[in-house]
Amino acid sequence: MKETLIIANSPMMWVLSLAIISVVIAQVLIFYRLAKNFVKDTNLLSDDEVAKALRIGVIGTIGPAIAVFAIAVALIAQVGGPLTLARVGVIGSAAFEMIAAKLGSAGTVATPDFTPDMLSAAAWVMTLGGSGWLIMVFFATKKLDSFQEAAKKSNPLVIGYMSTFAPFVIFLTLSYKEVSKGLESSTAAPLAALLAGAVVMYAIKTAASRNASMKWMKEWAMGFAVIAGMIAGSIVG
Amino acid sequence: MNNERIDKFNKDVHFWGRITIAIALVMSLLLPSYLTFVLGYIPSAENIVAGLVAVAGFVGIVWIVEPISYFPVLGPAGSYMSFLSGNIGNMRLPVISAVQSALELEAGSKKAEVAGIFALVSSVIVNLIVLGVVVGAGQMIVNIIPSSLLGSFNYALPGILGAMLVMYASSIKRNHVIMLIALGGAVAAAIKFSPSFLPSKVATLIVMGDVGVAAIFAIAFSLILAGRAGKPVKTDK
Repeated sequence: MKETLIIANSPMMWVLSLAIISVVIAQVLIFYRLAKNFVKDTNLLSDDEVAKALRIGVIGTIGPAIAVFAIAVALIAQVGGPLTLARVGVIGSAAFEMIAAKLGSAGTVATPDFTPDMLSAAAWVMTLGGSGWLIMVFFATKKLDSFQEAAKKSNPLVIGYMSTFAPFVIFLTLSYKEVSKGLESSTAAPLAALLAGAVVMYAIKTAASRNASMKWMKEWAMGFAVIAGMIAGSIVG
Repeated sequence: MNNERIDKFNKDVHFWGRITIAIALVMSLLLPSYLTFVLGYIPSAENIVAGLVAVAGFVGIVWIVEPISYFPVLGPAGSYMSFLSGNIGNMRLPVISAVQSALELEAGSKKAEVAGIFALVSSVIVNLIVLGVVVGAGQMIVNIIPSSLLGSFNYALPGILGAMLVMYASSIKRNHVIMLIALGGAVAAAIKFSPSFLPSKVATLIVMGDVGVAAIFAIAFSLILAGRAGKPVKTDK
């Protein structure tokens, strides 16, 4: 186990892991440039709108990103820093990688039987397990795009429906999972957090529609919802 | 707005999206390859196959379903970015939705797509910074910060989900909301009862697939509804 973690945290592992992260960073920079140039040429969005979008990305990500902390720390203890960084930084959710590591190492991860061979097996299963999404996205995204364009032309209603119905149901299912996970371990804290977030959003939406000077609140809605959720969840939990 | 410029933008997005995804795929294989072929920790094929079968058998469907069901919201660039960096349901999707709501953009429009790219750029960067802190000093931080404070971040996601539900519910017609809730409820019920006769390891993974499956139903529902309301939808070319 100890020897395994020394290998898992060796310098070469760090190098390879940072190489993967650098692909993610490169992609972000490329798409930023593409979008920036496109906006410059077409005036599709104002500078103010671009700044707001960038800000909302930050506001909306901080809370959930920190939430991954505990499980990521646990994963580091099990398979080392580099593999955690590479897997959670690409594709992964820490929770999925945790399961994949366990399945890949025949359940030996975090036990004395976690030999370097098992680390290697876990790394293969985690990597190949995450590749499925990348392969599908590589092949399907272009086709989905042309399908959606065609659908848009033949019936504009489709896009309007799809792009609100699909996320609504996605969030509904995620909510159900969070709340029932709490209730199963007999705490209503996630439910309280969910309700707090909903109330905050409703209040901001109502305020913004009644009074134009309150519109700035919408930009911060996610931040307020996160804080309200954390407070309500902590009080009840 | 000029159509040639839009075409060029779309082409660039697919070109760079696919290149970065392909590079990431290859790069991610380097880590396990290094362990196996350079350091010589050759895991038993049995372990890898068993692990992969366990992973693929139950997230295999998710690999196919998620890129389709998230596409209406993420769009092409958003798909390439989100699936590379992961954490879609808890970070990318809420951030894109929040931008559409705050800037009052029509879901599925070009404007929404481009604004979404900017939000994803900052979202991915913040995510990576937090991950960097976790990997660099996670254990230390966990030791210093009171566990109740760190624990309260578990309620960040439910808070966001509550806000998202209100946001989408207010932009969808009331009777459609009711139908979608019924749809989500049916999927949730199906998932709740399926794990009871499956081994717990398998059940954990199946529960991971529910979100995408529910969204596929929502997309099908959109197509049917739009088809009934407007002109018949052409699904072929």
